[in-house]
Amino acid sequence: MPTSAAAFQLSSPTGEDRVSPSILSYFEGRNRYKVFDLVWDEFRASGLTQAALARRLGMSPPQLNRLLKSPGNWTLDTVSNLLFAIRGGEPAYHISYPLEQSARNDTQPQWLEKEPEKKNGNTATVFNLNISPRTVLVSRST
Amino acid sequence: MSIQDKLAKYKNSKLFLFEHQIKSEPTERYIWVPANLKKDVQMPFPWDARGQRRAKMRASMEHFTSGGHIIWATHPKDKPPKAFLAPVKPLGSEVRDIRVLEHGRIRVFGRFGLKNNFIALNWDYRENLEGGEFDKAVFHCMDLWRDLFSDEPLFSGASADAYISGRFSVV
Repeated sequence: MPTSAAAFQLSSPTGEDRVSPSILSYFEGRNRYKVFDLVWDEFRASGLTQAALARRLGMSPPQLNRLLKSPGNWTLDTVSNLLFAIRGGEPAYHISYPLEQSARNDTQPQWLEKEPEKKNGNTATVFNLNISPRTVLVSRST
Repeated sequence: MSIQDKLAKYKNSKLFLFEHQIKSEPTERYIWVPANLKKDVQMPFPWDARGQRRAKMRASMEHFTSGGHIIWATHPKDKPPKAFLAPVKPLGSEVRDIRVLEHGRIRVFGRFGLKNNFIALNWDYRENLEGGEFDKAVFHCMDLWRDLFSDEPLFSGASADAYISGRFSVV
């Protein structure tokens, strides 16, 4: 893994060099948030109330409420239980390689992207466009 | 000059747009940071425990900017311990903190300058914010804001969707 401070670019591990624990920690965080989003998207799409989901899981509403606030203590079993109880789903796994995907150029607010460009004395407006789709590490099975 | 005008003016001088480490990630909300905070969330992080916590801080900030589901607290006192984004005292100051939970245990202080544009100005490890230190960090945030935006009226709204769009739950 590269370690220079200037323009640090993440790259995939190679050889037998140890991966920085901080990089592992970063991907742990990403993974938790992706699973969190997946469960919340599923829950919202189901139209269930938290009270109903709590009953399905045999939990008290406050217990479920705490669980849904943060993925910090979720285990694989937690995710499985939540997804099945919401509407009979289970996670479907695939691996993506985000470091190999194309960079996006829509990284700033649109109001900042309107940069006047002088052309033959006239002013044109330049917009950046999305160029690559969003990917997730875990998706709902269909 | 509005906050939006000042953000445009300060871009890449006094403030920087926080960018995803992985350039293929979508950006649906924005975090602006001063140079020192930009450096603090920039990889590579140290290999020690604090480096790992800063890595979690980066992942949390990217969760916000990528449009992830936000647990939005409305009150500093009654907020659930797991809220992701919460107002802090004094009430009405519009200062909020991004709460990097569990193994991260970091707080990032700032204010919204516009909808979906959080201006993060200072941060610290949670254990450094015990006692009066939390309030000091909040007032430091307000001082930093004043240096940048002086007399501009604070951005405020009646409900969460005045501040952020996309996926969120109000608690």
